[in-house]
Amino acid sequence: MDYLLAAADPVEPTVKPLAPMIVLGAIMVITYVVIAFDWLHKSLAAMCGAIAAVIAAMWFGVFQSADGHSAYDRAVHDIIGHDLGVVGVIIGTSVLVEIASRSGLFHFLAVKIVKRTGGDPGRLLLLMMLATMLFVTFLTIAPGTMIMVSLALVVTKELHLSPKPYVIAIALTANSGALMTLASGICTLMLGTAGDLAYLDFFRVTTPMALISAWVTYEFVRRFYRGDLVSPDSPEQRRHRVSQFDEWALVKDVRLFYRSAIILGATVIGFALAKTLGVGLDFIAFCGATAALLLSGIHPDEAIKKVNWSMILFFVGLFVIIGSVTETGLLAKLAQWLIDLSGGSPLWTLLILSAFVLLASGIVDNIPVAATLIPIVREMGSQFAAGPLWWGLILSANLGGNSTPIGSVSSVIALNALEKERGIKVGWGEFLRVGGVLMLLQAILVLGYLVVFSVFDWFPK
Amino acid sequence: MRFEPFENTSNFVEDIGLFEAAAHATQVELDVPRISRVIAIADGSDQETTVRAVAQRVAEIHGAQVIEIANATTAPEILGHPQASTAGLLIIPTPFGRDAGDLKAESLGSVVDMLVAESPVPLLCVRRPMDPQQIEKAFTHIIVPAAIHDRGVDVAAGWAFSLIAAGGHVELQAVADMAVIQEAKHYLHLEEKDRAAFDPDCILQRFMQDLAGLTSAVQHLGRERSVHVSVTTETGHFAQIIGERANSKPTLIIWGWDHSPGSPQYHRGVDLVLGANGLVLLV
Repeated sequence: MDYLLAAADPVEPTVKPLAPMIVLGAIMVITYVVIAFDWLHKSLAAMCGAIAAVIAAMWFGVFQSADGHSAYDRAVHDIIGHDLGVVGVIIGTSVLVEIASRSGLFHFLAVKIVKRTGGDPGRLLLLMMLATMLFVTFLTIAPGTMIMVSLALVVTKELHLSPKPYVIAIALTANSGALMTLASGICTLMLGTAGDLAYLDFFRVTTPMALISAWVTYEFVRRFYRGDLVSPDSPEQRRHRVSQFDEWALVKDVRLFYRSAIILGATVIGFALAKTLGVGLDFIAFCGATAALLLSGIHPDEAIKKVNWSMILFFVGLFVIIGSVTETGLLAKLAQWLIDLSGGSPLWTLLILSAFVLLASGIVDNIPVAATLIPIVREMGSQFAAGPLWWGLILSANLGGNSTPIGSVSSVIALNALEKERGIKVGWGEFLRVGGVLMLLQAILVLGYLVVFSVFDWFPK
Repeated sequence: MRFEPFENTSNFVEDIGLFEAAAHATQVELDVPRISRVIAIADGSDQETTVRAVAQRVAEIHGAQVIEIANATTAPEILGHPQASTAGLLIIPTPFGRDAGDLKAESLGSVVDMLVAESPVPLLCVRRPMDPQQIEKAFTHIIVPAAIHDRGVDVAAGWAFSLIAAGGHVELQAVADMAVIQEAKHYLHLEEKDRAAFDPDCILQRFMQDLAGLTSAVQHLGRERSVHVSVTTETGHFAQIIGERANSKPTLIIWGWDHSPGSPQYHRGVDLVLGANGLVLLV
């Protein structure tokens, strides 16, 4: 996203005209409203917004031609080109995850973990949450949540338990899991790439917070649903029922199973070493995907068609809109306004920004929120160290989604599944009492965590 | 205000189906037959040399004795041979045959037709001549096809482990034949809402649940015997899918056989023999 940096050159004294800021800003806000209210499919809304933004930017002459390249070429193609890293990682990991899922590796592990609980409701909750963390770390939020929610629905049916605490716990834990590594969540990946954060630094900053927030989630859900975590069966009956699960019935191909595990592990190591090797995460993701395609024996078309093209189009559209708005200077103005609001204090700026993101991520999709804030944080980076702001953004954009039933992909998947498969509807009221209160606790934790890191200067340089 | 995730939820339905399968997998014990005697039919056809070589290969695997029956021109002569009823396997050339399509008037030739209907012993059909290397390779890649409602997949799977070479690949390939399902929909004049029950993904999912116990059994046996086992599922035309898979390299297909001529399972078995370039074992 270097194009955003270019737009935020602090020495450039030119005063930008107001009209393009208003028009392009309006296009961005309208697109977000359309996305939030689901008036159009998200990808289509982003594409429409992108087209409108480019037309408006061309009309106002926002894009400047340079080096023999046309204004359109320089602006739009540069905008998309600089974001190919994120798109590449999404494509590469999608292929890899699809192949790993087909091998039955994660399904096998999930059942193995459940069998370790002996059917005890409390242990089941804890281990299911740990498994969710593990799967989201490697598979990202949506695939990890889908596997664990499916398992929770089946296991609770077998054990005559209420699925609600388990499904909600999985949904809420998934957002903590997305903080485990740079590549564990789309939002984390986008912000980490934009901030040029090192993979290994995530273990110092976000992984501890992921574990703390997951533990808080466990304690909170366990207490909130203590009346539901009771089984009518005897411990022997529960143990017997759980032992009846045959994990080997899920394994389609043992060779693919082991190969997927090795490739997935090697890709994670590759992510950690990418910076040292001088390559991007997209290159590592593509290497992993290519190795999986070569060694899996699965027809490439089968795996490639599972790539989330809808999300890719959404990203491209979103980046073009934000890139165009950035060119008008509007986001630079917003950045300055935020700095003025915090009295120029880096710590207050960090806290205000994080609090805003925690709140906004529960109301609208956290991806547009984070994407819009990228150029703003870049602009702020010209006045003081942007590192803490990136970390604050990552923590709050992921955990903020816990507050409402529509705040995160994991909650939407989990609650839809609960209603469709078991006929149990969790309304806004109930979810706000669980997720909303939990998010408030996590918000206090996040803000306190950021203060501690700032005061003790623990953020990586 | 609502929020739709991008993810395709068909994966979710599949995941639930998989875990249901794991929860209710019935334990399957595979019977891996031992062969002490192999009968090779020599009929003077181009396939005769291949029949001998295949019999030799099976004998090597099992330490079995090979008995050759020459100059037997009818099925009763073959079945009447003193060793025929006690043999573990009968290997026959199947150079003839036709499939009259919808009339289901398929035939593998009069002698083989009678043998497949009446033989108490599994038949290994050699449709085309194969060189020794191809024969060797066929015993390293065994396909066990499974179609909905057909019986005997577990018997065929047991035979696969009986004949597979160490380090070989046993492929359990489940096919939901959409041609058959489309026919059923048309024939039953189903309402649109009922047609949803014929959704290929749902059918395949139920089918996989039926095969869960077998999947577990073949994976366990595969690990025990260092044999690569894979289980794949597909929707499409049964004979076409299996044929394409089997004919891409030398292969042995093992099919759970139904001795009743005219039954869909019988018809599918004949299709496999007629379409295969490699070997087809009817058990």
